[in-house]
Amino acid sequence: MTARRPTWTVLVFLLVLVFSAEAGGAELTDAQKRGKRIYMDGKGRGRITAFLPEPGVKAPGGGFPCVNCHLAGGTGQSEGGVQSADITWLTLTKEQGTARPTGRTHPPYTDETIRKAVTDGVDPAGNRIASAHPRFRMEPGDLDDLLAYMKGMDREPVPGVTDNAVRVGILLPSTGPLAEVSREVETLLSLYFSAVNARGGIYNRSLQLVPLRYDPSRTGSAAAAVQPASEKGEIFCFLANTGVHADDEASRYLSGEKIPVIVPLLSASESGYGTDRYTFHIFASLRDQARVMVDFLADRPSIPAVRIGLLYARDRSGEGGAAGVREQAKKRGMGPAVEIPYDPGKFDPDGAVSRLKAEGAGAVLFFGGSREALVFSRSAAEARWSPLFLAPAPMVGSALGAAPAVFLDGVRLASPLTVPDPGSARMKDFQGLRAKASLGDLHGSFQYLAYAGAVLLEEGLKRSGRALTREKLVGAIGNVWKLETGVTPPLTYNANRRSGAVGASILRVEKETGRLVTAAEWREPR
Amino acid sequence: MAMAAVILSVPAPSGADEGKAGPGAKEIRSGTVQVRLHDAPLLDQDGRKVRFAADALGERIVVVDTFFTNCGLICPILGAIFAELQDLLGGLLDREVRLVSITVDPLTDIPPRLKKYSDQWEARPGWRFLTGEKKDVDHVLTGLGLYSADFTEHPPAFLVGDAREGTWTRFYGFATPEQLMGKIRELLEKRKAKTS
Repeated sequence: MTARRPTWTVLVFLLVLVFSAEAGGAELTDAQKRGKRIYMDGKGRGRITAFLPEPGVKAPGGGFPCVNCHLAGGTGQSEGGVQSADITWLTLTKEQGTARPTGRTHPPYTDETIRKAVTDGVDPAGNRIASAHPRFRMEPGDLDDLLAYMKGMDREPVPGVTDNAVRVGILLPSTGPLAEVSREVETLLSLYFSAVNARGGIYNRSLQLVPLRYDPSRTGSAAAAVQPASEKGEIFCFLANTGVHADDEASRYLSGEKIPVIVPLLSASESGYGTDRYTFHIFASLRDQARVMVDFLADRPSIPAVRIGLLYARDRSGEGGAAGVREQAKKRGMGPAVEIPYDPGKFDPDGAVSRLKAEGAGAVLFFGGSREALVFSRSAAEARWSPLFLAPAPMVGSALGAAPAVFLDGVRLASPLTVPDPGSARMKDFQGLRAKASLGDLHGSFQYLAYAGAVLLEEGLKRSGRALTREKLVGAIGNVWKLETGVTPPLTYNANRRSGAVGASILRVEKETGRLVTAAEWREPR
Repeated sequence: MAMAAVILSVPAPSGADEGKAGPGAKEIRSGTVQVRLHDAPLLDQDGRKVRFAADALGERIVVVDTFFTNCGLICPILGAIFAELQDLLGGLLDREVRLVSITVDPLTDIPPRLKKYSDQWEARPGWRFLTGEKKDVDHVLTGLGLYSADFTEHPPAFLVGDAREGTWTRFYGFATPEQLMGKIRELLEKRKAKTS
């Protein structure tokens, strides 16, 4: 097999990538806004309670907001064998009356009979409605507000969606080291959207990119850019937000508002706890990359019982990698590692080398900064020690290019990227857009990610259908299986997975050329 | 030893007769089960790190249920039962009894979502909502016999037990707050008898 050749340039990007540490609708009236709060949160001006006939319990209304079962818009659903009714105003009040799935019929609802359905659980014919339906107690004014909202809720506009456009936001740093990257990403995505729109858009809606710029040197600047646009209902979802970390106020705001964020750039993806349902990443977390590194060691027939030395920084990235090593080493029966954590900025390379050497570590798994990796390589070379040295490429970047040659021989880097197949249609499309925009290679991987995010969004929008909502988009992307983007490994998401390509390839340095070549193909952790 | 089944035979409610079990109230089966209380690291609704056995249960009499915040039909009923149970418990809550609701969807249910969910139920101290790393949550649920591979299919069930013991009572389906309270009283009496 021909070894593929990622370049150091790609790794420089990766270093930066992960570790630089309502349109078109009428406004709701005040009564409708209050009614919406009742519908969505079960909270009115007065206290609301819900009585459940079947278990015979009374509970705060907040536990049973209408939206839970009838959904936003009131269309109803089937869950757990229980069908919740379509309560859109048109359905409730149509003159010919309504036949329920049970075969029961009743006259059209009126304001008064809807009140009785909400409070007493009976339909206009006097039939008891489903026993799973709570009987609500609320003040008459709150009931009026709820009705006011229900009358128009199926026509309530979806933020950022009009009859002929879907508005997609992108957060872009206006200054700093990522300003140039953000210009390239914006240009590329604008071209991608133009191409989609030239094909007729998606369900006759064009895609519009809405750049929101922020100053990365000012805390809260991204959130200040996002909130007004969100509150005005101008944005449907976000794509390729650049430089906004997962713990940034803007990210927390978007998550809290349940606004989908597709492939944020420069926000490390996390596996396990804390993954946000509304944010979709491409690459594996460091933890999962670490698991692939352990698999690589475990599968090497030449060194079946290698002892792992685990050298990591005491920060979020380092701890994440270390956790992945522990988890996978245990799974693969490799025995406990010799662990040397260090505080960032206080790394003692000579001490680490002498201890790892003395403990008989045959492979060092490293999760720290590029500078520490380089000084470690020099200390090891001075001590005439050449262990296998594995590190995630995003963490150490290109620094190891300056490591002593004798050490470089044992260096293996985990990369969440694969090298794209230049012959694929998607890759050709990507290259075409890039040429059109006259974009260079320097920020190539940012471009890959943004492009992959656009492919993912397009797929999600197509699967969501014309009656688009944010929840539908999240559900649609959450069911994507092996989507080919041409520039990343195939993407798969599900309810428990928000990183599309959970895996890594292992690279080594080719002696003759100094280039990185593939030592083990991209794979998912076992 | 299996517990005798508890049969609900409460009259049907009318609109003005709230607070009693309704006509649909089924026979609720209950039985003794062996549980393993794994002391895994979890997080509560305030984002505090807690060990499941040592901190969250804390040697109290405990009632456990499972939920996920996106659930529309089943979990709210379980939540309502706990909401009423916490009223029945009055001053016993937290002092001697804990209610513990464990999410079955820890990837979605991060602490701020749990906080909002607990506010919906007007939960008082002593009713804790737990999440954490998926593997840790799954470990705890497996120990309790409450794990489902598909979290949307998690069974409606309550576990009632003394955190100092391994034998607990499992109620299958929607037990009433009174039934759960009855079991709690029994366990409190048992404890009292042991210490006197």
